[in-house]
Amino acid sequence: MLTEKEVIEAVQNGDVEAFSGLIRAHQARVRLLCLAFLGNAAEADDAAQDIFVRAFQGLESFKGDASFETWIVRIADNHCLDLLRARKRHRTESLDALLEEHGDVFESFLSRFNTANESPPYTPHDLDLLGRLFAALPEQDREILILREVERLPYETIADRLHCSLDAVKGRLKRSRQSLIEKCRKFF
Amino acid sequence: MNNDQEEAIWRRLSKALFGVTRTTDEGLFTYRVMEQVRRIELVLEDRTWHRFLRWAVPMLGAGATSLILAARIPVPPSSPSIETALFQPQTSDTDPLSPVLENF
Repeated sequence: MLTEKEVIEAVQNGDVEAFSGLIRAHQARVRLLCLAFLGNAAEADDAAQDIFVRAFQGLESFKGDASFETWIVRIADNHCLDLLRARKRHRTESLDALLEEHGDVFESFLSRFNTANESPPYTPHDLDLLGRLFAALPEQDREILILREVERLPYETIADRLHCSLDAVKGRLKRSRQSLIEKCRKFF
Repeated sequence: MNNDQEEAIWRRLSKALFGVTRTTDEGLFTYRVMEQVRRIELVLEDRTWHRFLRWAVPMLGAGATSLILAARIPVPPSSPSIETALFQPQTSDTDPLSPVLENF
């Protein structure tokens, strides 16, 4: 079994097929990030494919200073922001309306992920539901949750990105989590 | 509700919402990306090959032309008297090269 570093070196040395290992290992994370940004499963999948293609094209310049995951998440972040800048804001349903209408689906989704020790794989339906849920989040909450929970950035980096203090980041994150907990409390 | 309960709910919620590590269609997704990657690779290989040909063909042509020209141009035969003079062992009294060069 090759390590990730060896797989990357193989691709850099011309073994194109080895790239599939990198896609398999990181597709879920990249797709989730796209889903959180774009709020639509089909659009997120197209974006995620483009991101992997970009990563392949740029892999020659990958030096391994950061992990491949960090590197591709950065590509994904930039790509999604570009897409968001280029498109008009979609009209989305409110989180309350979504949870009201699809409460039973969301409840069964949550129970599947809360009973198993290891998370089961997400189905396309799960991704679709997640996309709608992310799209329904207030912009401010979504932004901070993406940075912290999906991109897993440290507080300091988030503060730099949002041009605010560390305390402001922590406060905003706490409020966003609290708001999500309040809306989903009935499902637990 | 106390903080521990809130924390427990958040842990479960974030595991479900942000804890995705696998998807059921990862094979299909990988296949689609690899299709694009292979197409790009073919285009790149094609481009590299064309770039190689762009300088290799003229170089090869120039090389072949030089060889043909070199083969066709007659080499002037060297003067046998000079060769004889050059390789003739020299004695202390006579210098065989000087008369030859004077006549040359």
